[in-house]
Amino acid sequence: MFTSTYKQALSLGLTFALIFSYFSYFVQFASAAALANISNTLSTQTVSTAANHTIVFRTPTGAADTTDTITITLPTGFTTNTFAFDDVDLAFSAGSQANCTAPTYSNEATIAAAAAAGTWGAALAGQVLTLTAPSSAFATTIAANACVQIQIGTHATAGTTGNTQITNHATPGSYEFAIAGAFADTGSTTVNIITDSEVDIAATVAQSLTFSISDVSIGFGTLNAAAARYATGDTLGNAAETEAHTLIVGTNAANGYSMTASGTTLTCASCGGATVTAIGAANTASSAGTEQFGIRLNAAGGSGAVSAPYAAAGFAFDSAAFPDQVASASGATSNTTYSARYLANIAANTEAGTYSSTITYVATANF
Amino acid sequence: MFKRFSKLVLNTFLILAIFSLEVNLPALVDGFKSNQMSVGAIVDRLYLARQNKDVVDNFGVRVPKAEAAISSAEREYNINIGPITGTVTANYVYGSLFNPSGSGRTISIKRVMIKANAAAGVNYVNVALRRTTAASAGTQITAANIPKKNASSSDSIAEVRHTGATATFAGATQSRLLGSPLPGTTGYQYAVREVVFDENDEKIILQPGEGVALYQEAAGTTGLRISLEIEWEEVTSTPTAESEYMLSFQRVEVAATANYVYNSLFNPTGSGRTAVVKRVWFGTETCDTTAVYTNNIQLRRISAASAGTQITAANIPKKNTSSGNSIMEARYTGVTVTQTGGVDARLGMVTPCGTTGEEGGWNKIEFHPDDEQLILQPGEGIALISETTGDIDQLVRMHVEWEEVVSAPTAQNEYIWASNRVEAAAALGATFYSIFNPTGSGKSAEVKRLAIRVNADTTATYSSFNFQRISTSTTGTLIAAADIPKKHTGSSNSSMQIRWCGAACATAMSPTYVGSRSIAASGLSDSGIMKALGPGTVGQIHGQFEITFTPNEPLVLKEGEGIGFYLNYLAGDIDQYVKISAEWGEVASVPTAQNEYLIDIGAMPGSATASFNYATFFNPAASGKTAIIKRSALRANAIAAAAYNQIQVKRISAASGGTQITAANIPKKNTATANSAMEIRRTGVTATYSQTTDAQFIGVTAPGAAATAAALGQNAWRSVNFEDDERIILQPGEGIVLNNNSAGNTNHRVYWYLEWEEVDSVNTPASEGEYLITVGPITGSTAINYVYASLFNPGTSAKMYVIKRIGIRGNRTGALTAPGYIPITLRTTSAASGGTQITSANITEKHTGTAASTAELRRTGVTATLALSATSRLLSATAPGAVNQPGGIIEKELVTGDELVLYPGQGVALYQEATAGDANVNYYMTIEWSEIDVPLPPQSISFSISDNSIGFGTLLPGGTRYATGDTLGASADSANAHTISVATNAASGYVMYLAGSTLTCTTCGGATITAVGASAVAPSVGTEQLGVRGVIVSGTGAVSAPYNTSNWALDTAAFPDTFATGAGDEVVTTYGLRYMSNIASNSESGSYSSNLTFIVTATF
Repeated sequence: MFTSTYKQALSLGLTFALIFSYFSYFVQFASAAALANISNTLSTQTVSTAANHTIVFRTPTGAADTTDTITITLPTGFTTNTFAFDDVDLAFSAGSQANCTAPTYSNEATIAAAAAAGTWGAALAGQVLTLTAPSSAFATTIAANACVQIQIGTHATAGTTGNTQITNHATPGSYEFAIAGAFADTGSTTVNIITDSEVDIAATVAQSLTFSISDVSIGFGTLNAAAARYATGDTLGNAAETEAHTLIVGTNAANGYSMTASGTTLTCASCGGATVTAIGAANTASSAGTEQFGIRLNAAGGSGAVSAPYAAAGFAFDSAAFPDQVASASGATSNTTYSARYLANIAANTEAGTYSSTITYVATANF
Repeated sequence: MFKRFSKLVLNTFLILAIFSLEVNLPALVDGFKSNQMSVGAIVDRLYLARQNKDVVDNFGVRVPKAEAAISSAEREYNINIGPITGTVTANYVYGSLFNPSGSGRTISIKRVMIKANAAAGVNYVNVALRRTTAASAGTQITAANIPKKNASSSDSIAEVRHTGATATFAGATQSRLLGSPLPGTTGYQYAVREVVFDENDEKIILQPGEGVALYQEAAGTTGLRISLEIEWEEVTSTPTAESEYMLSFQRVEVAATANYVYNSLFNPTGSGRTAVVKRVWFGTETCDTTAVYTNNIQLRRISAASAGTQITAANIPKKNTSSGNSIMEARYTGVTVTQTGGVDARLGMVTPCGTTGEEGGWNKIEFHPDDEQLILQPGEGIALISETTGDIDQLVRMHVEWEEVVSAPTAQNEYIWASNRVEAAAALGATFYSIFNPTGSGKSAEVKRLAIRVNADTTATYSSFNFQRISTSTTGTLIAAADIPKKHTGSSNSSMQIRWCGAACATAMSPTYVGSRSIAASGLSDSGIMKALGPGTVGQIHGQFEITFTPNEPLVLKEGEGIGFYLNYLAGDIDQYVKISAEWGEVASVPTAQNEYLIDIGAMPGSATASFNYATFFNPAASGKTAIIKRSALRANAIAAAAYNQIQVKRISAASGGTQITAANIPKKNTATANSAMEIRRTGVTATYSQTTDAQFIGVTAPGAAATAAALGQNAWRSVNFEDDERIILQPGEGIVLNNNSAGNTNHRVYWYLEWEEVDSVNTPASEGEYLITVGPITGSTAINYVYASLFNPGTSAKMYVIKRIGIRGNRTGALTAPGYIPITLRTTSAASGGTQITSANITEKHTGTAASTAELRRTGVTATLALSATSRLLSATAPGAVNQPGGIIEKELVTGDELVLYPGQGVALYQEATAGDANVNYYMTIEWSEIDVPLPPQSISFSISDNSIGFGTLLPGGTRYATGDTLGASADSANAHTISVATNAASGYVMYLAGSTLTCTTCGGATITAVGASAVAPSVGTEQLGVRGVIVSGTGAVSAPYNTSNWALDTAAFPDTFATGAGDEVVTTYGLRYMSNIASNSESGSYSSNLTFIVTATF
């Protein structure tokens, strides 16, 4: 019974509505003008992908009436997700424009969920986004032939930035967005949705580690207790500090590299294994008359750096820590040239003989 | 503001209602459309045409306006094959339409007409349209010469042949879709059969390997001129079969005895189906020699049928051969039937022909799709019966179209009744019939169709008859309620009281008439609803007039209301057979008034004065109303020698004088409607014409002599009904006049039926941009290819013309000098000039709010370039060879929604195909069209990327790499990594944007390869670079800077950056995309990727 009555009531209502609509048909005198320069730029045209929409058109009539509305009908299949008015920006140019190629959207409308004084309303019903003119107190009306830009999506940054995009249709094809509304102009624009509008470019950068030693045979010449000797590439040594050889290290390892030294101090195999005492872990200045064997490095180029205790002006040779890091880089680096310097001092009682030391440098990249 | 708010509320309400009720939305929309139509939009059909077989009508077309042919994707065609000269060869095929096997399309015939005229003596051989299974030979009209309704459509796949085609017919000889006797001799007009299928009808479907052909069943003569006209659509998928059938019965020529049954259609008990009869034509098609008038031939219900000759089920033509065989039993020749109801229970009734060539014994009942159809349940049928002794020279048949459904439709309480005939010298004013709704009936009648049929069996008085409202009716012989036939036997008995005065009018009737009723000599009862001029001799058919109100407001008879039919002018004549028929529904509630009116003004005696105004219909400036004219039916007849003068209907801006019909006397369709605000005047009105005489909605040449069977004299019968097209809108200060444009004659009898709605002028319908004009009369030329009239859409119009109605009217005004009977044809044109151009100010708009036409309308010796070939006829008539022959008249409304479309640079012209022998003939071209902006083609944009995955391979700091489609990369810039193709028809072209990121290594801390930037540069080894450039592979687009050189750029700061642009020329531009990269030695190792997004935006 209730259903019957309900239906009857609805039927009456429908009848009334239809009749009313019918009559209202007759009073539609306003003739719609065709919008011009209509476009819709998406942030992506890939199927089923959320995209921002930037809709632009030029309105011959403009919108200056509080009863004006602008509607945008999204094609079925474009999903609007959790749309809110924040996801829409409405901007328009000042005055009449010849086209909308590069207008200045100098007027940014204030938008809320519902129209109010000075505020445009933005509401979505089904596939239709309706922008409703301010109920009063236009900040600025949309002039005839002004260019209008409607942004829908996360690029709608006026006021609160939008956080919802429109998901593209799942099927490739052309889809028409219709623009209409009580502002009396109508038009449409078509976008093409394709399977994938992105081009993925791949590239590989291979791992690389550069490591070289300029001279693997150096010497101090004859050591004496009165003065320090510095190794040289000609094996003769020198009384003044000089570069014995260089090491070049570079890598594109994201975590750089480390270079270590290991080996033994100067040792006299022919005199019972006597040694020249290594300086140790502390960077120490040369001290004539005291047994010392040490190394220090200078770095040039790249981002490599000499590690302590080899980085200071003194020398060190921390054989206890071998293999001991002598240099490193924390990231990819072009070549760093390390200038290696070797110091030796002996004491008066240091055993005579022929001494030698083999130091092994190892560069390890950290990919 | 209120309007918008109201709409918002209503729309919300509708949406809620739709969802809460689970309403079938399409049905609701259909209902809404129907409501719009019935409330006030659209009108009736051309029943007047049924009385004049040469005024061809699209019966029952009520599909909503679609103008589908505007789309060239629609494949709609229209051709008039013929007129083909007759031959003596039996079974000769005049025309054929065949769908060849493998065509890939299905033909859907929406309208078909056969029309035969005689240029010399012919005979009465039957001509028939039947299905075929093969067709060859004859003369084939090439596909390119088959006229398309939209010239941009593809060519038809149909094989159209004429003049001696060879056809293999399907079924048996009885399997006729249409049939008619050939015209026995010149002037006979009965041989016209036309069917237009409405939106509720199944079309005739021709699948590949099927066709139809028109042929004569026995030997004809060379005097015959015969045409086959077909409108059809071609679709790629075969429509679903709808179990509809169409059968022109075997015609019967016997000396019938009383109750002889010529034809019957019976639904046998147990069939499991119900037949829904949509169309019944019946009666005597003509007589092949003198016969008797005495046997009423009636159509009635039956409850059993047997004997006779049964047409086997397989031989009953289906509209779609995919339907099953019909379950109906179709019989002919001496069928045995059981009649239902009493003697008065007639569905239809005709007085048969009694003289050679007479066509008044033929009647058509076509149920409007909005009205209840005739329902034949199992055990029910219809039969065509001779009530008394007939005549072997009467050619009798029935044509039926029906659907078979499993579930019987619900009864809708509609009734159809045809009277017996009254044959009496009745007194002036005598009432013959009344249909009255008695007080207390609890019902209202909605009269949907009314018909007057008065025939004469010899010389008689040209009296006039009239339907008029009554308020009482208590006398006369009452027809038993049980004898009033129901359309559906499930309906209850009618509550109406139908009375008549008896066959000899011996029972006086004295109903109380409402309004102005004059039975004085003038006979101009101004409250007449429908009138007819009784025939003054045999063969005349101007005593037959019929109106179907649906889908307009019906004539509503509330309790205490009725209509009476009486002798309005001059005393009756015993040689006239007076009949009426009616169709109505009965409803319990009183229908709401819809503000519609109707009036039949006349009979107005003719005037010998030029510019004499017979009647005006004027909307006074202060009326506050707008009149929406839905039907105008002009009938000018001659009762003796008269004048062939021009009579026209045109716009006026003022009217005074004459005799004004008082508002209270203007009949309303529903008495609850307010009095009309219009000023209707008659007889010598003073009117101010709005335009020149060229500006005529309607123009006719009046008959110069009384009609005969061979010269029906109905050249001045001209009914215009606006059903699917714009109505004539008369706003305050506007009107129309019916006037003599040249001197007439007092022997004319002029009637003007009008039907209209009145709305508040604030609700004046918006203009629909339509024009209606009749060009002419133009005196006949003797020259071949002479162009009488032309409508041309100039190349600069920027408009598309949607042609809705075209017509040819050829009238002979004096004796023929041979040769005559030549084809007068309407064809498309590609140019027109010369002649006399009718100014745009004189092209008649249906609504004065319509902009001036852009058309070039010319007459009298136009120079036109006819398109296609001589056989590409849109419409064709045979010029009359004798005065009063209506054979030169043909008019049609193009199937609604499938109109003929004229682009700029196209037109139509009326011309004669051959040399004629004299100038005693004139021609008119009627044309109705709308002008719409040439529709922009559908928006198009195409965009594709050939490869979405490209790569550089391994980048090295020591050498430049270029991306390739195989992702391996290359060391030389020698090929495109991929292509992008773009095209659009957008007015402002397109822009292709580039966005995204440079090469990035997500596995190595987001390391990137530095993009080149905004300035194009050359590759630089050892330096990080990612750059892009574009080249044009083909097309008209252009790569934008900085991507348009041989150097490289990637301006990520400008993203989305314009990469290319192109015009909206629909040309596909293919862009080649190239990518370059270099790395430094310390560029982090890892897998890099870049997602570049290409965006194409068209600006429409």
